Amino acid sequence: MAAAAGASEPPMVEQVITEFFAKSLHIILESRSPYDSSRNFTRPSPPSSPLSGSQPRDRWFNLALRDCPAALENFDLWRQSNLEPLVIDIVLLQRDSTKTTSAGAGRIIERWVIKYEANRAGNGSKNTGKKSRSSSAHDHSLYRRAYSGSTVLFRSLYLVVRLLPAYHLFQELNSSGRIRPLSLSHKISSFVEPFTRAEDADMKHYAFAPIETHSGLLSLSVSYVPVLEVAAAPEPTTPMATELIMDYVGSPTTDFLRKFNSLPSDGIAPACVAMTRRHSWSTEHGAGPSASPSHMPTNNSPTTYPHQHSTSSSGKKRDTVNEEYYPSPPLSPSPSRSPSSHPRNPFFRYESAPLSIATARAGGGGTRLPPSPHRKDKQQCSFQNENLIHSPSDKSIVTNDLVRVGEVRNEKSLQKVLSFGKDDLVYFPGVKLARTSSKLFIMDELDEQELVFAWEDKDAIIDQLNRIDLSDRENPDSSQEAGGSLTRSPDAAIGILMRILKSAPGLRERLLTAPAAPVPQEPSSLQRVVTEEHGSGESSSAMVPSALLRSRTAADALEELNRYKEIRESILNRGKGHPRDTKMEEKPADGDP
Amino acid sequence: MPFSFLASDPTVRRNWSISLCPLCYIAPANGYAKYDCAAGILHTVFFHRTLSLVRPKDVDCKFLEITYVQCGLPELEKEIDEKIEQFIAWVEKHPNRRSQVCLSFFDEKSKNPGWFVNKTERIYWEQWFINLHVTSPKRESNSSKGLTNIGWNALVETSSRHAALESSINEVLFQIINFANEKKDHIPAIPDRIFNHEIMIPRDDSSSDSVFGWNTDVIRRVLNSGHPYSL
Repeated sequence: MAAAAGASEPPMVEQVITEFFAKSLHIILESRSPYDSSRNFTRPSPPSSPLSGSQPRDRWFNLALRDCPAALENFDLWRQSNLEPLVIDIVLLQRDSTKTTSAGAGRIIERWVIKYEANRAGNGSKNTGKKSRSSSAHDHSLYRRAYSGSTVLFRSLYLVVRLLPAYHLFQELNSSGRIRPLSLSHKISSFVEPFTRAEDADMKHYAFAPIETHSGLLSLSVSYVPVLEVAAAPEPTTPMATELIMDYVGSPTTDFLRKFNSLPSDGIAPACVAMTRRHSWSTEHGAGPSASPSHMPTNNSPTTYPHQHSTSSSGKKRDTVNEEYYPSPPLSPSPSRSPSSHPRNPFFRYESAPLSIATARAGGGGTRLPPSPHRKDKQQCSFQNENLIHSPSDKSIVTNDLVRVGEVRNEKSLQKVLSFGKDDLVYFPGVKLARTSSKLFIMDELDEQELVFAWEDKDAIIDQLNRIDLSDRENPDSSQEAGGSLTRSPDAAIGILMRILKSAPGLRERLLTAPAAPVPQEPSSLQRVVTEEHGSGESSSAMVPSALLRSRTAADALEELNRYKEIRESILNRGKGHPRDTKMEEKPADGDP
Repeated sequence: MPFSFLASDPTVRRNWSISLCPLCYIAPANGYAKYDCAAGILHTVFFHRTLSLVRPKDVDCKFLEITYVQCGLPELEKEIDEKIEQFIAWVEKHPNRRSQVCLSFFDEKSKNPGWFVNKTERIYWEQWFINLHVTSPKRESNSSKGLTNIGWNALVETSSRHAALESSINEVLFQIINFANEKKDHIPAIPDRIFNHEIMIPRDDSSSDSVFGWNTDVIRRVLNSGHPYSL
């Protein structure tokens, strides 16, 4: 029938019919095929008018469309069918996390039927007596009517595909890069497979005004589901793949970070890395991956930083293709474990570190943790990482992962740890997380700059304070020497203190040391000073567990500095009360640097 | 005749009554609602009657979840935008008044061409009358209810009104599609440019009733053209 109808049509009209099918397919698939959608293809827009840059097929029906390879490929296949009906089924595929999509799992949400019906004898047989003269004019008139009618029809079709419910779904799937459990696919055939009664009951129908041709009728209709009840499950965020960006401000190539790169990456969870944080908690507690903070441990017991999985369920499924249908690519689902699905990137920059600094507080007082970086966009950070805890002052954001712990034994210490002050910085050893998301990356950049400035002030102090312990361990003599300063002048004491600070081990070096059981060690000179100052002979107070030394903050360092100043003043005062000692202290003071 | 003057054809001169309900006390985006409605309708009509080569441009409404299509012609878009802005300004100046926007397509022919006189006449081959009624929502007068109840009721009412507006605009767009496809024989031959057209909106300087003041201009023009015309 189609072939015969095609033969009875004038060549011009036959061409219109062929292009009618092609254009219909193009318009429909352009807005229903997410993978091959031309929305993703940016075509350089013509400078001033639609005429420039248009392709020959755009001229058909004066409707310039973006490229849609799916339409072109499929039409080439259909072209061989010689004007048979063109049935385009738009299928909604829903996949779960366990199995890939199968052909039968989809639901037809739209069916477009384009067909040419011949056997209309009236159009081309008028005025047979004057056929020779007016036939060409008549044919031309019919061609013009068919063409202009089709032109208007395709304007309507272009609009209708955007008014139907499936278009919103298409926009959702196509615009965001998130992995979703739904996908749209299409199926092209040349016969109409009838719907089931239930399906038909759900469908609405819309038919465009048919186009009359010389010997037939072109018709286009659609059956569609008026309401698409898509599962409203919260879509998991799909963090972008981590990638190294080497040329950012404060990159490892800079001096600032170079020393951190040299440190092993094993370590402490970063503050605002959503995926690692989530994963760390879920992995640790055996819970399903979840971003919910409820999965965080409620106890404040120390937890070690867990290794991250390198699984990527979403990644594995990402490239699955539904070959049963003309593929739109598998927008494979990502379960809520999306953050955990990313392998741990060795290049993490840890935003905060539960470093402990040798505290001079009597009783080995609470845990001293280094301050966390001051976040400018902490809101973003907290949004992305639900495990983040806002400090009471909301000036900084820290995470429970900071508590790298063996050190934190009690809640009070933890509270203190978590209440970081403004402008405090924490820095974990390790390498930089280049990117987990655009927002995170921005934060990293900001933090980099902050760190550059802040570390210069506080890093030195913290390093030196840390080195005190290491040097004390390594060089007990120096500690002896430092301890001997007590008998010297206040200036000498200060000088020795400065020397101690300068020679103190760095925070990062402190972190390198495995969490060992508190080892009784000789009190550092500093601690000895403190114990002497406070008149406390308790060795326990001077026994600072090495674990505590791990967590230090710049604030703690400053506190200690202040304390040293107090010690100095007290020494000075004592010196006034003991002129004999003062005299002795004064002598070496000259030689002290 | 290659085309027929269908101004008297009632199937073309359809009136669509759309009640726009600006959410003036709930959301500040009421301007978007009016713009979306007017722009969606006008652009849809133009898209169906601009038969020269176009590269369509999808526009997602800011206030409504509707995507309409523009022709992608900057000059036309600018003209429509200006008219819409004028219309919205008029609506805001005359709240709760019925208004009508008329979109006309015509051909220009020279009338009695002479040596010194070159008069042209317009032959309207299609006119679209779009009746719009922009209303303000009624305020809650039940003072006995708590603030939360008022807010909640207003919210519910707003959302239902929003849905109704969206539905009505959707329906109107489908009506335009139907009418644009039903009658096509009168459309002139496809040109290489936009058809001559004009958009008439209510004006403040019209006599008596400003809503229908522009009709006098139309009538005058029709009478001068000598073609039968019935409103």
